[in-house]
Amino acid sequence: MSSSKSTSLGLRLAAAPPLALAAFGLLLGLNVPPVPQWFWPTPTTNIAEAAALGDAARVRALAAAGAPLDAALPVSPDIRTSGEPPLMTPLEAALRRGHDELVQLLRELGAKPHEDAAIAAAP
Amino acid sequence: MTSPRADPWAWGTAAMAASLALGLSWCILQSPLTLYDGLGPILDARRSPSATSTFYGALYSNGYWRPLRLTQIKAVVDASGDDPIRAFKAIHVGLVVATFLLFAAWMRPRSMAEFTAAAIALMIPAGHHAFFVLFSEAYPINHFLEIVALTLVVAVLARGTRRWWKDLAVPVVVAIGALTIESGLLIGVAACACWLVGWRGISWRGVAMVVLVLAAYFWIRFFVLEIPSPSLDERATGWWLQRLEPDEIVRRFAANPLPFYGYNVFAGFAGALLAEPRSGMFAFVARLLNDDVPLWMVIQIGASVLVTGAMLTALGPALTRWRRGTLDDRSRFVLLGLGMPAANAALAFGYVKDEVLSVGVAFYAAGAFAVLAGLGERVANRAAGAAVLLVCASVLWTARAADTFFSLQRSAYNVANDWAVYSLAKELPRDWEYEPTRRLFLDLQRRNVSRAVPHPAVTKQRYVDEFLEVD
Repeated sequence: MSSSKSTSLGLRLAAAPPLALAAFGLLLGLNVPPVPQWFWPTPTTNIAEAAALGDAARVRALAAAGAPLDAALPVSPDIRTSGEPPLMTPLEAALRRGHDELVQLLRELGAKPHEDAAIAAAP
Repeated sequence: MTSPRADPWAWGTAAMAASLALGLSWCILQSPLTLYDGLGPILDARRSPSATSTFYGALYSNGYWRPLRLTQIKAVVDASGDDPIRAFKAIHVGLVVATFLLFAAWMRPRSMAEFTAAAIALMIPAGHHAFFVLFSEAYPINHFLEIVALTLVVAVLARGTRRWWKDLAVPVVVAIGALTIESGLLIGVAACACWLVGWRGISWRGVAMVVLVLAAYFWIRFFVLEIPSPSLDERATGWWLQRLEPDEIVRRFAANPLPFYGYNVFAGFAGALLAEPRSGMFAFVARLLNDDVPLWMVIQIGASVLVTGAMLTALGPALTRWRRGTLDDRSRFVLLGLGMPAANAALAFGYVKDEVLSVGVAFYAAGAFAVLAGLGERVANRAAGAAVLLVCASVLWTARAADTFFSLQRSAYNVANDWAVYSLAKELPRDWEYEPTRRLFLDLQRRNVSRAVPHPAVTKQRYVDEFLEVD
């Protein structure tokens, strides 16, 4: 009996990791909360935060949805690096982080340089 | 398969396979459609007047003979109306679910030990690097995944009871696969290999017809249409510790390509079995020399070495049984698990690309099932060493499979950004100037960037970077 139990334990231990991953897959696949929200959080960044992160897809999607391209918006402290102001325009955020493709994208979308160019040019 | 009550382990494995496939499918559905390699065929399909003209147009191309590839894409674009993304995603998900269910049906475990082995074996297609691109990309149909699914159909038919219709269906499946991509030839190889190891679900007549289809393929391609294999400058590839660009490959091997082809076969086979080299390059060795080996690399190689070692140990006895004509199903799986990756690598002599080895890896996973089931039975006999090996294989392969979920998330982010900054006017000016393709592109771009794909900084990826090969 004890032999059978230890046998069963060895096999169960080996089966446990794949079963756990399959359970995760099932919960994710069936959209059972909070698994999808935990694993694949819905983006909540505003357009300036997305620009700071270099998230070109979100920048384009938010711009298409009417987000302001030239307004200074609050950037979360989690996203800001030291020396960055709490309010930035998307273009300023992209320039400060050196996201060249995003700068180009924002200009194509209609963002105006204003003093951002001066900020980027600053040492 | 009988009822769940009569066959609980087989049904349990099928449920597990479906769960994994559901999870992967969910990630695929959240992701944008592949841009590079994916957009061009969709726009070509929109320009083409009919599926027939697409088929004839694709009959002659330099280095490849894949007329059904673009024809399938054209048929889907035509049938999908205004939203081809939904249709291509549905096909991708269907192929993922079919692949996992077919793999589970092929293994058909009969005991707790076999179920445990099957559970671990399912982690191999879910976590092997040769399979990752099969989940992360669609061009816009992932034809490698299509071929894996069709090969598994043939393997399941071969292991089952003999039926006359199988002898007719399998050659047709081989022809469809071969005319889709070159890897489709492996469906025919698999049918022959299953017959050689003694599975008779497909009779010798069916196998003879498969051989005829393969012969006809080579005759038409090389002698009638005169379409050669891809040239040396087709693409960059790995060579030992470095990556060679096409012009360098030509410079080194144009006079005698045999060493290059030989290396590709070796690298493909070793990559499938040992997780190294990757795309022909020994990245692990290179990083070892630089004293910069990440943990995820150790996990990947450890997982592969453990299972491959067990399979090599089982190879000798399996060959002996084959010679004596006393093969059982486990030995058959072991022979196929090592033989099919070798055949796959040989067919991919032109260049090494991870996903090209996916058919071989599906068979490798079945071989792993057989040897892990043997280990499971030794656990039943209280062999502590076997228990340790089994648990290690399980943990390491599950880590690799978990890696796939995180990597899909990262890949989705990268592809969404590709779409956001892509300029059709610069990349494909002909399609930008043509109103229907421009309109389709702008619609695809809008739909693909508006998917809610999180930035890696806000996902759980930051906690697992060290353990998993996410990027």
